[in-house]
Amino acid sequence: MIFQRLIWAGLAAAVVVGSVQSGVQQWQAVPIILAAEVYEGQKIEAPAAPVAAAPHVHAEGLATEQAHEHGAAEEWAPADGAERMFWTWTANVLHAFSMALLVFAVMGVCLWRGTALRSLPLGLLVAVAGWLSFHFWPSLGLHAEIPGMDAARLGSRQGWWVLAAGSAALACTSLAGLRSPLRWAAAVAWLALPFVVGAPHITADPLAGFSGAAQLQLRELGAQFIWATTWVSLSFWATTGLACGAAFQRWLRPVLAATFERAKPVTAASAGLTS
Amino acid sequence: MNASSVTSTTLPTSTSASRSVLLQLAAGAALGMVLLYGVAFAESPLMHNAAHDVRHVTVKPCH
Repeated sequence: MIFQRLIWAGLAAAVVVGSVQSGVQQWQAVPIILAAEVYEGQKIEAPAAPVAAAPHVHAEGLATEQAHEHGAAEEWAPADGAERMFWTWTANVLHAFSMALLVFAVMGVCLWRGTALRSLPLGLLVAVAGWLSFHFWPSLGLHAEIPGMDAARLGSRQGWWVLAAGSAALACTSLAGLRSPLRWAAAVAWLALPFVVGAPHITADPLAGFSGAAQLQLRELGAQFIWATTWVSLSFWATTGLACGAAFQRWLRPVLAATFERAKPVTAASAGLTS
Repeated sequence: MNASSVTSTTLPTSTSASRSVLLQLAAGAALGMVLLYGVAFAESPLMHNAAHDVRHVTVKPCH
C-alpha cells in the first residue's frame, strides 16, 4: 500500500523540517512578531477588551464584519513561552507534512513520466517550484504582515493567495509537462493572471491606527519581517527538498519504480527493486 | 540506480497497478491540501490562535 508509505515518509520528513523551521523562526521571525504585538495593544481604534485580555488574540482593526468572531466568547490561545512554542512547532510539523505530501505526489508523477533525475536533485527541483508557488508569487502581491496591520478583508486576501499559488503552480506544471515551445507563453500567462486580477489592498495606511512613534517602529519591524520571512521560506523549501528527496529515495521510489516499470511496454527490468 | 528510459507511454497491460499508485499519490496530495487549509486558512479561532505565528511567518493572510 503506497498510501501508508506516503504517510510515514511524509511524517518523517515533516518532523525534521518542522523542527528545523521552529528553530529558524524562533531566531529570525518570532522576535519581530512579539515586538509588534507589544504595539498591537496600543492600537487606537482597537476594541479594548480582547486585546487587554490576551495580547496575541487580535482585535480586528478594519474588517468590521468579523467582530463577532473575536468579540464575545473567551477564546483559548496558547500562553506565551513554552506553550506557544509547542503549538508553533505542531503547526510547523503539520505544515511541513502537508507540503511533503504535495512534493511526493509531484515527484511520483515525474517518476511515472520517466524522469532520469535522482531523488535528491528531483526533490530540490520540486522544492524550487514549491517556493515559487507557495511563497514568492503570493508574497509579491500580499507582503508579509506583522500583527497589528490593517488589510483588506481576510476572505478576499485568502482567495487571492490561493489564486496566486495555484497560478504559479500551473506555470511550473506547464514548463515541466508540456513539450510545445508555447509552454513558455503558457507559463507567463499563468504567472500574470493573479496580477491582472490584482491583489486586494486597502487605500488607507495599514498602520493608520497607531501613533507616530509606534508607527515608525512598526514600519521598521514590517520591513524586517519581509526579509525574515524570505530567509525562513528559503530554509523551509531547502530542507523540504532535501528531506523529501531522501525520504522518497528510501521509502517510495523503489516501490513506485517497480510498479511503473511493470506497466512499461518494453523490458527495462526492475532488478532488485522489489519492496 | 537503473534510470528509466524516457518513453512515457504505458500499455494497458499492468497499467491498473500504475493507475492505483497514481490515485494514491493524488489522495496524499488531497490530504496535504486539507492539512494546509487547517493550518493556514481555517477561520476557527482555536486553529488561528494555535497556528498564529506559523501563519504570519509563512506569509498567509492571517487576520
